[in-house]
Amino acid sequence: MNQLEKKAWAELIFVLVIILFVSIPGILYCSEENAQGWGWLIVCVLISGPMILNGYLSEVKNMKQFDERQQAILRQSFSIFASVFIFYLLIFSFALFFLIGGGERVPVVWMPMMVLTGIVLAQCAQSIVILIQCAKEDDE
Amino acid sequence: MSKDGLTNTIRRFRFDAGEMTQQALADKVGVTRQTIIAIEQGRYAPSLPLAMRIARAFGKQVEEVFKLEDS
Repeated sequence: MNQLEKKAWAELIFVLVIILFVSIPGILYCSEENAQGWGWLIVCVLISGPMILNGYLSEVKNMKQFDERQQAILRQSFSIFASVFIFYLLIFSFALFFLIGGGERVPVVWMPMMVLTGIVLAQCAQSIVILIQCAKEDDE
Repeated sequence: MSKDGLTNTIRRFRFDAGEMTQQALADKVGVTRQTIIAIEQGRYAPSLPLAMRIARAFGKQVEEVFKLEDS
């Protein structure tokens, strides 16, 4: 297994574990408790902010361990991530709009759920693209 | 030939250089073996700095290793 495959698996597992076992249960708990106000928002930023910053910085730092072709694959996979995420948000929001109706209401908890499930889907797509690319190379 | 019309003679130069392995060339120019394979097969067009490093590894000019075919 080369470095790219390891990265694809590690990110997929990390995102799945964090979102499915931490973020979504956390949001559901806050929703149950009807957590609202600046205090909760600040707590959320203090917990997720360093994680996101650390993830971004390690991503930038780790980029240097890959050669230019691998970096091109990573850039391509990131554009797949962004495309899938945006497409999912479009489908989700427009489907809600037309299925439920513009004048109706949806629980606010659906908004972070939409983002979190979008990240999971986009991460799956990104990792699959990298793993397929690596598998094709192994075949050749 | 790659889709960019770029061909190369890396394989021949590797054998001329005492049957240099793909891994040895990869180590010499600072990329992975998979990247050398992709370049040799024309699936990936290297950047100019990498092309120059590969040519330098054989003691050749870039134009001797890489050729742009007329479309």
